Amino acid sequence: METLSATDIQQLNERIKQESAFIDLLNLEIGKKIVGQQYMLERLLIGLLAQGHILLEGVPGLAKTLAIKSLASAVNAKFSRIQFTPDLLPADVVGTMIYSPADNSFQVKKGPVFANFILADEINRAPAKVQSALLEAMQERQVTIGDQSFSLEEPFLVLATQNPIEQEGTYPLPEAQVDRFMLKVVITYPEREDERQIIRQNLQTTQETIQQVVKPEEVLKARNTVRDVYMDEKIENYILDIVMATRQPERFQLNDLKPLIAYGGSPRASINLAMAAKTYAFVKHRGYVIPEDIRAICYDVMRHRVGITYEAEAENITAEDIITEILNKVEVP
Amino acid sequence: MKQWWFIVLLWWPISLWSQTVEVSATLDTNHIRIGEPIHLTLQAVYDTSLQVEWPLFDQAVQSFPLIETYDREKLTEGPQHIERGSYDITAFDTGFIVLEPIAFGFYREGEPTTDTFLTEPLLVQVDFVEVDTTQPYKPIKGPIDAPMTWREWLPYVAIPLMLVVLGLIIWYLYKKQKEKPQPTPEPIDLPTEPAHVIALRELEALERAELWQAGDYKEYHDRVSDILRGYIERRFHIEALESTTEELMVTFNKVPVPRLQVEQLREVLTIADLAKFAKVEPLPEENAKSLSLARDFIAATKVDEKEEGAA
Repeated sequence: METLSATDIQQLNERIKQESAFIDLLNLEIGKKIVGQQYMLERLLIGLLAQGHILLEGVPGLAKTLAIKSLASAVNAKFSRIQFTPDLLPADVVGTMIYSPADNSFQVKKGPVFANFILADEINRAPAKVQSALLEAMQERQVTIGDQSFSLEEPFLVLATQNPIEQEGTYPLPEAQVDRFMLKVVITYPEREDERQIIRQNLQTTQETIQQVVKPEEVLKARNTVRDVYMDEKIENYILDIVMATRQPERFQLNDLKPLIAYGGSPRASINLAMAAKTYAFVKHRGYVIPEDIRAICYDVMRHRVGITYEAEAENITAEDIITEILNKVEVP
Repeated sequence: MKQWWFIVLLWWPISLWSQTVEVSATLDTNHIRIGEPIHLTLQAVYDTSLQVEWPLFDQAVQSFPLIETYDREKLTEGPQHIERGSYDITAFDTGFIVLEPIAFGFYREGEPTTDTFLTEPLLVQVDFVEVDTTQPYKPIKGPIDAPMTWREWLPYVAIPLMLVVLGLIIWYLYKKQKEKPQPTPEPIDLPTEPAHVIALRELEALERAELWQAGDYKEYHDRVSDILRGYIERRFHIEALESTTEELMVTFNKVPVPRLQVEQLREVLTIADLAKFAKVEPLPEENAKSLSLARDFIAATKVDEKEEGAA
């Protein structure tokens, strides 16, 4: 592991301040259209910069589509929306081979997954094979149609949504597949004043349009810079303590949690927590990670990676409650 | 003459049978109101050498519905059997109703022929119930309560009994649990010294260690931060060791501590965070200031010993 001196970190801090300046531009531009969803926007940026994907849960009408569409416009990237339905087929997502009678050959017809920003709306409405097709594309960042493989264009960000209501006739994502999403973000209704602003904005005769403020190349460059953000060993230990506490709560004097946790966070949880914390620090124009970053992002990284038992369900205890208990007990460095 | 003897020989066995068999049907009354029961007795007197085929009532009597059949009795008096069967019958038609002749069959053991003997027909007069049309209509009578059986009584008895038994079991278990010796809580090592005394002593030890002077800024500020957090936990009962600097500042908004001291605390912890997480090397005067601010914070927020003693 490369050791950084105090001067290196100071320089890094300065560099990150400069390179992360576009975040404010993005926020300003998207803020023209989106009101009161700063939390969701921040998580979208984290997913984009950390090369992760996001599972978004929230009731309809919270501007999920508008948010990612606006982000795509601000980065001038290709946006694609796939509405998942029970009769959707993998070929409808990734594409297929079409027979051309003119030259008696098969031609590749690329699916909507070939875009930079993808909104997979209500992903749990489609059967497992369609979900797998998308999740494979997310993981591999390439798609195979017939005998040809196609790399997906970067930046590539999938925002999958799930509706917490109307669970009948859905195909819930298995734990192993949910784990592939870097963040699971739960969004709630905007505040009263924000909603007033939303009403006024929507009733205006002229609607704001989102202009490109960032080039995709800048985003790709920022992705590399994010990995350079300094993370002290103390922070690494803090991440490990949190993840270990989900697996062996009794080691952290959290014996009450033991019967409530079915399974704890995987090593992917530790990796994603570290990566998301670095990205969060970048978004906050900082060149180093502080415990606040871990705590800010912990729920989004961990909530879908901590399995709760039937006992916990019976007592109405959620994964979020367990994470709260852990954060309250694990000592901050 | 020869013909006369032939006729005598031909009639002789019949007249012999007639003497040994006698069947009858008698009613206890031949005048009833519609639906009233009539007691019918069928009797057959026959030679002991004969067997009887007793009539099946439903087939033999069509016009009188059967209410009840009683056990048949059979007596033997000398060379004769006397067999009686009793029935309660009724009639739902009015007028004069004929109880048709009822057929009895008789035969000798081993002989194929059966002779049939009929009872006399009987006439029964069935009248309507006389209705006094001068009287007003009476209301329909309600259902009559049938006496309750033990099965119906059972739930009323068993459920309270079960509840009493359950109550006794719970009471017994509760009593047993109460009698069980309760585990004595392990004694908690409470610091005998006030929080500020411990913290000031630790700060003094830190100063003597001369860590930052030796270039170990990270360890120095880590310990300053830990001493302050430990002091806050003991003094204010705030989970400072499990809180980030920002969270601690938010918590202190609700604690009655002067604003100046909160800002001092923020300054110390922020420098400590920079040294811990960003490898910042504070200037010598900043290092000394951290210690001085930590002491000031403790001095300003410590519990007055006199006040504590009074409490």
